[in-house]
Amino acid sequence: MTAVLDYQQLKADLSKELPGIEIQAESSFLLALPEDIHHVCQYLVSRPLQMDYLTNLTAADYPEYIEIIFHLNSIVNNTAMTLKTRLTDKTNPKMASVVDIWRGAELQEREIYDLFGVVFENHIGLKRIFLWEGFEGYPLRKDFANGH
Amino acid sequence: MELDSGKPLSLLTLDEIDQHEGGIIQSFRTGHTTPYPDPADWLNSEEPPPGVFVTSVEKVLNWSRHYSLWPVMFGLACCAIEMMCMAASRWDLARFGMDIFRASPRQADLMIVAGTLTWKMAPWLKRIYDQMPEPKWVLAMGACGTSGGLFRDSYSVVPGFNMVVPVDVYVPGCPPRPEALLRAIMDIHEKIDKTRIIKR
Repeated sequence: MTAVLDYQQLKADLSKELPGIEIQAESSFLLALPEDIHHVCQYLVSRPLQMDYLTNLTAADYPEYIEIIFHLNSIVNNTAMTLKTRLTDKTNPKMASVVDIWRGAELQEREIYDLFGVVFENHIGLKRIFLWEGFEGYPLRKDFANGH
Repeated sequence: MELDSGKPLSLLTLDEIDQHEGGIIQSFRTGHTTPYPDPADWLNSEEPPPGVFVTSVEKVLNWSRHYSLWPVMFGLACCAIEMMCMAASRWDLARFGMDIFRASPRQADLMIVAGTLTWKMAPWLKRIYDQMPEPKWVLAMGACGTSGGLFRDSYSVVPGFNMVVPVDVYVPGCPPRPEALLRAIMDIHEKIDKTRIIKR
């Protein structure tokens, strides 16, 4: 069975490998700052962890922040982990894209951009995926009010 | 299809095509806020005016339409599975003379709209409806078709197909059983039988 990584251990490894990074280990996920997320992902995808498979990339809207959630798997080591980051600027949320690390993130980031309004910098083609051009608002945010 | 500028679609960039499509959908959405009334005039249709006798012509026309309905393929979501099931051997739609689902609206006179209709799809449903030759009938299948169902207050789902096209028969259920759909088709047959070719 796929083993979930020990987040305390992971935090210690990350702080040693990438000094100056602020990281927080919870019981079920690892929390990093949005500006560090690209470095963290680059470390996770390289040896020895080799989290080479992005299972899921999604977002959730909370009162104070928008949370971006990465579910990562390692096919080689048969391990899994969850990485989260919180975007506190809800009027203009943006973070670095991870398409250059996991190609599969392309459509998922477009989905988050479409439904939550999060801008992913250095994305290869960030535009709407589900909704049509001209749709106003971000429907999966809690403050979205439908016209009905 | 061409844009207002007269430029053919093949010469446009992908962004321009998306903008164009978005404009179509947005204007369609703002233009369809009230439902079409159900075409129920056949229910109490009057006798032809005195002196006009249609005798067997009406009977033969209605009989031939009754037994040779041609449905157009319009499966949008999960209801389409039940629709296929109804067309397959167990419920056997061929018993009623309508076993072939046409891929072209020009050869069809019944549209079984099965599934959730989103605003992004609505203009093309309207277009397919417009392409069908008269006389034509529309069957709204499932909860989404009758009212929008579970997704009625959603940002993207059309609350009932009668916002887009006039609907003859509604089939409730999520999804309806194939028997329910067969019953609805027999209701359409009943409607065809009562249609008068001459209006007063």
